[in-house]
Amino acid sequence: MKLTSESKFFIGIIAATIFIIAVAIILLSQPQKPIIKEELIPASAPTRGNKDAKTWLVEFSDFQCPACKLFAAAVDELALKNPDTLYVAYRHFPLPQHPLAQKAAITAEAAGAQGKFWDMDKLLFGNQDTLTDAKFTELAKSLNLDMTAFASASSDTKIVDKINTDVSYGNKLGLNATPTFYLNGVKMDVGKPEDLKGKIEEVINSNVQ
Amino acid sequence: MDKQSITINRIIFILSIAGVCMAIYVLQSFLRNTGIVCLTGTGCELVRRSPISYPFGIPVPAFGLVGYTGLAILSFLQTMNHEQRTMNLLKGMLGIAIFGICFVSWFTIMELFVIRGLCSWCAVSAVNMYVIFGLVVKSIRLPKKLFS
Repeated sequence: MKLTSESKFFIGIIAATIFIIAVAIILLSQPQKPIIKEELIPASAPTRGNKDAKTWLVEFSDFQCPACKLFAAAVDELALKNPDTLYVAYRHFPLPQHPLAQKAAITAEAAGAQGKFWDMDKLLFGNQDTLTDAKFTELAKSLNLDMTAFASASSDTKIVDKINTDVSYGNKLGLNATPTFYLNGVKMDVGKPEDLKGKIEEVINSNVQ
Repeated sequence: MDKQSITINRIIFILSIAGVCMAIYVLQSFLRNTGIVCLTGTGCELVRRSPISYPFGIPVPAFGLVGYTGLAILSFLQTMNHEQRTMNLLKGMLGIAIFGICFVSWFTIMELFVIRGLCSWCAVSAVNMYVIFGLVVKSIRLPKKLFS
C-alpha cells in the first residue's frame, strides 16, 4: 500500500494528536497534592466532630442541590458514627441556577450564630422541595431560635461575605459541581453516597490501626 | 480525488480527530468518576451521573470514541488514492455518520427533557457529528458527478 503525501499529512496529524493525548494522560494521572487543613477549613467554617481527628472531611454543598441532599444523609451518618475519629466541615457553594440556595445558606449561617448550624442543615435538606422565604422563618422557629437575633443575623452582610468567600474559594479550586468533597485535603471522586461512606470508613479504619 | 474532495476529506478527518479527543476526555471522566470542565455549569455532572448516560451499561462517550475513530480511519484510508475503494469508504462513513446523528439526536433529547441538564461537550459533539454527516453527503455527491 503506497502512502500519498496526503496520507503522510494525516499521519502527522495522528502523531501530533497521540502526543497531545499522551501528555494530557500523564498530567491527569499525577497524584494531587493535598491542600492544608487550615486553608480548607477556615476558623469561621461550621464544623463537627473531633478537631484533632486524623480523618477530616470538607464538603462544598448547596442546600437546593438534590445530589447534596442524598450525600448530606451519608455525611450525617458518618459524623454520628465516628464522633472521635472524623472531623467534618461545611463550605458553602450555592449554585446560580438554584434561586433559594443563597438564602438557604444565609439561613443556615444565621442559625449557626446561635449554635444550630447542623440542625438547620438537616432541616433545610429535609425540606428541600418546599423551600420558600416563609419556610426559612418557619424552620428557624421550629428550632426555637431567638427570632430577633435570627432576623438580625440573616441581614448581616458579614454572613453574605462569608458565603461569597466560600464560593470564591471553591471557584479558585476549580469546582464545577456540588457536592464536592475533600478528604484529608484531597479531592474525592465519588459518584454515590455509598462510595463516600466506603472510602471515608476505609481511611478512618486505616488511621485507627 | 479532486481538490474539493481532498479538502472535504481533510475537514472530516480533523473533525473526527477532534471528536476522538473530546470523547477520550469525557470518557476518562466517566471511568474515573471525576468532574468535567463544563461550559454549561453543572450540566456535564448531571449528565455524567445519570443512568441514561450508560445505555447497555456502556458510557455514552465510548460510543463517540468508537464512531469518531471509525470515521478517522476511513477518512485516512481515503487518502490512498483508489476511486472504487473511495466510494465504498464514503458509504462506510455515511453509515457511521447516520448512526452518529441518530445517536446524538436521541441523547440531546434525553439531556433536555429527561436528565434536564445539558453537557457542553455532548452539544459540541452533536454539532460536530451533524457537520461530518453533511460533509460526507456532499462528498458522496461529488464523486458521482466525476464518475458519470
